[in-house]
Amino acid sequence: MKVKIKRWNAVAIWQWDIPEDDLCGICQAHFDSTCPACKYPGDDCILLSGKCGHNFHMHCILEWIKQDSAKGQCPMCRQNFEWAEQTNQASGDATQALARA
Amino acid sequence: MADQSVFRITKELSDLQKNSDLSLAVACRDIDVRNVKALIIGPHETPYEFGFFEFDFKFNKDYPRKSPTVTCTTTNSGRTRFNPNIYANGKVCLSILGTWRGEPGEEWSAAQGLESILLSIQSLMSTNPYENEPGFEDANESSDKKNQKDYVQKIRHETLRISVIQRLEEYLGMDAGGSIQPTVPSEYDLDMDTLDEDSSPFLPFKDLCKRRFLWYYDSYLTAIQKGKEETKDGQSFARMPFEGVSNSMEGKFNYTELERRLRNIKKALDEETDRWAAEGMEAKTKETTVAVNLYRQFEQVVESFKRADLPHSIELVDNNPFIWAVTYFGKPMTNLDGGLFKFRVHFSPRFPEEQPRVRFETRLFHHRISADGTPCYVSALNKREDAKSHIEAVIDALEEEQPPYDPRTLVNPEAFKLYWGGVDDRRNYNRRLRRSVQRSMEDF
Repeated sequence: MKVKIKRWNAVAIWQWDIPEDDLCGICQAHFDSTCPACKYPGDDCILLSGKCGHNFHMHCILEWIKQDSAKGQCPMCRQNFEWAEQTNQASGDATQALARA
Repeated sequence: MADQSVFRITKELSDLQKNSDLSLAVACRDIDVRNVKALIIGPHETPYEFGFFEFDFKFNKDYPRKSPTVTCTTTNSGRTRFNPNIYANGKVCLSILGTWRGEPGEEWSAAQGLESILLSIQSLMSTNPYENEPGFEDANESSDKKNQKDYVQKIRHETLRISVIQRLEEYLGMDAGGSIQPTVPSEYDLDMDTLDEDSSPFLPFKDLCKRRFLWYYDSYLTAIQKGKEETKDGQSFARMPFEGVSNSMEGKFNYTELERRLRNIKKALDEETDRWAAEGMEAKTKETTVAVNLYRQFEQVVESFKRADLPHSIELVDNNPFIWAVTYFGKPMTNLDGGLFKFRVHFSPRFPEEQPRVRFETRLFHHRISADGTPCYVSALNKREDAKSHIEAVIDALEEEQPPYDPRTLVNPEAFKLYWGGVDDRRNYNRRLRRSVQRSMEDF
């Protein structure tokens, strides 16, 4: 039997390329969903990884880190929070955002 | 953007309620998740053992960036300081709450939350709370040794008097003399929906504390016995060097009085359970939702046990859907083999808000069954309204072959001690259990 494909729809899923913890330590929501302030996951609500190995929604960690009482520390391990350099576009945006903050 | 914190609080609440930790409970009114009430049950082998300590949590909009405000409400109306770090005015001194200067790395962080705060408070309730006071951590003079002992002694007394006895008397509408205020029987009692939420007091732990009281009753009596040996009635509490004028724990020992009040509460609780039968009959006549629901559940349980060919039988006592009599045959190849056990499940006309109370009629020497026949079982929170899950949970608790060591299930002090003692103790326990199993058959 011959089948002629007239039309097809591609479907894909995506997820953040991060090692293990799948919950943001601050809002305790899944990374694959958004932070509480956002509606759509993905480019609008990106993640930020620290050199200490802890990941957060960018909006969550920025809210935390801008307070004086946070002393620039990671909420999980209390080391100085420095974001890990990443090559992809998303973390580039985050770095800029952090620079503005 | 405004209510981001609500999302996290709601999640934390549901996580805590799901994991059914036997020593923590949290609750809030549906309309207000920012004001949370939490209950901590005092840890085993401390002077706080099995006391009920309640805390108010207030979460502001900047949570979790900022910590919540926490106030202890078990303070004898602001008169009693239960711990060097839990003041009479309710203040809880804890570095993660920012109410105490802490070492770097102990301050609040957004990764902390409701559960980690509760665990921190619970860890204040230690075997030797004297050393919680800054400057007294390593105090080791002979006067300190005496103080440590005196401090533990008065905390144990006040834990029983205030956190357990006063709380339960209040729940039961009793005064210290043991007489019960007659409550006006109301048509509306059976219909909770008509109550205005805001006008009624919010007592989320009422039923929980009553059921826990029945679990721990023997431990309370043991503590009173110990207190009686160590103190005299009328003897004043010793003042600790760190206690101030309006921030201390003052009073006199009177274990005889505590014992009397404790026994009155037990009696009132048993009478309350008995009253459910009569109330249940009335509910049955009126065909209330609860009565109809329970009757349907009963028919389903009977049917499902029959289908599964389980050696259990269930009947209604006096054809009352609020009292189920269960007969259960001990599991073969276990210590329960050859036993025939009867227990009753008493349902409240307010089921499932008020959870059922189970009582063994067969006397069984078992570490999960108290002296009066109350089994210590835990039903899953999401199955609270499922009567069958209660019966299964009772049987599971009875049959559990290798239970983890958990002093929160200590409902029969004697059996618990033997069960978790050395090899000889365990042998002794098994012997006594088997003897009681054998007797159950002979008595039948």
